[in-house]
Amino acid sequence: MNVSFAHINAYIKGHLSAEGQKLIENEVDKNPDLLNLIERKKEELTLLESIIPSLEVTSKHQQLVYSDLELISEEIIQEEKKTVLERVAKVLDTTIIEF
Amino acid sequence: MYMNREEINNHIKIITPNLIKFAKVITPDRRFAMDLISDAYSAYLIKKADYLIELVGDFSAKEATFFRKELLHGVLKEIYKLGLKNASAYKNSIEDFAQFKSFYSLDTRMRAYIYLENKLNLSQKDLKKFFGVEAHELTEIRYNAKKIILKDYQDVSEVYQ
Repeated sequence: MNVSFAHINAYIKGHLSAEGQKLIENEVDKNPDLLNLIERKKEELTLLESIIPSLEVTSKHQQLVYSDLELISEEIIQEEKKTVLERVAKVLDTTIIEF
Repeated sequence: MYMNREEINNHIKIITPNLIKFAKVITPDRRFAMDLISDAYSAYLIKKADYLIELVGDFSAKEATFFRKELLHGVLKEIYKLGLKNASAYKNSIEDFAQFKSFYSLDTRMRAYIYLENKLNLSQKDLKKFFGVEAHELTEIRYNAKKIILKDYQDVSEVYQ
């Protein structure tokens, strides 16, 4: 198996399947440099996690935003669907060239 | 059967917390963030309403998850695009926001990238599509962001040594 950065990132974040994790661990046993790389990546990830704000959303704020979005849906989404026959009729009705 | 407005709203309700969090990544000012979400959703719907309505409403659980992901990424992208355009207007609110200084010292693109990759776990493929760039350009964004963060981190470490 070729271990890519994507595999290592997924491994660190715990997104790999049990099988995938086992494969990475086997690779680490064979190649100690890989362990160093994983440790370095873990530190980097911890640092990144620490600088990203923990953005909490209150249910009140969520409701407020959702109400706005609901109104926007109402304004923009038109629900009346035309049947295929109506659409064909509309095309046939359209004047292409007028003399 | 077509998807109706109520169904679309149900999906929107589920993704609303993620929209709010991402808008706060772009601007920490609550009022700006709320406006950004509304404007982005309007822009998204104007482009995609017909497509959304045409979709069949009886989704399997897997299809619903896929649809929600498309919807989420679509609206997030509009938030990002509007955020880029308004970046200068948000500058003051960002400077006032002393908390998480390292994060907000990054530019809009870097903040969006770091957040989407680390908090929303977007794959490299999704990130490429989101930013409309090639893989090497993603690496460049990441590298530059890391460089700024590490510089801040080292500066702080040196002060405490």
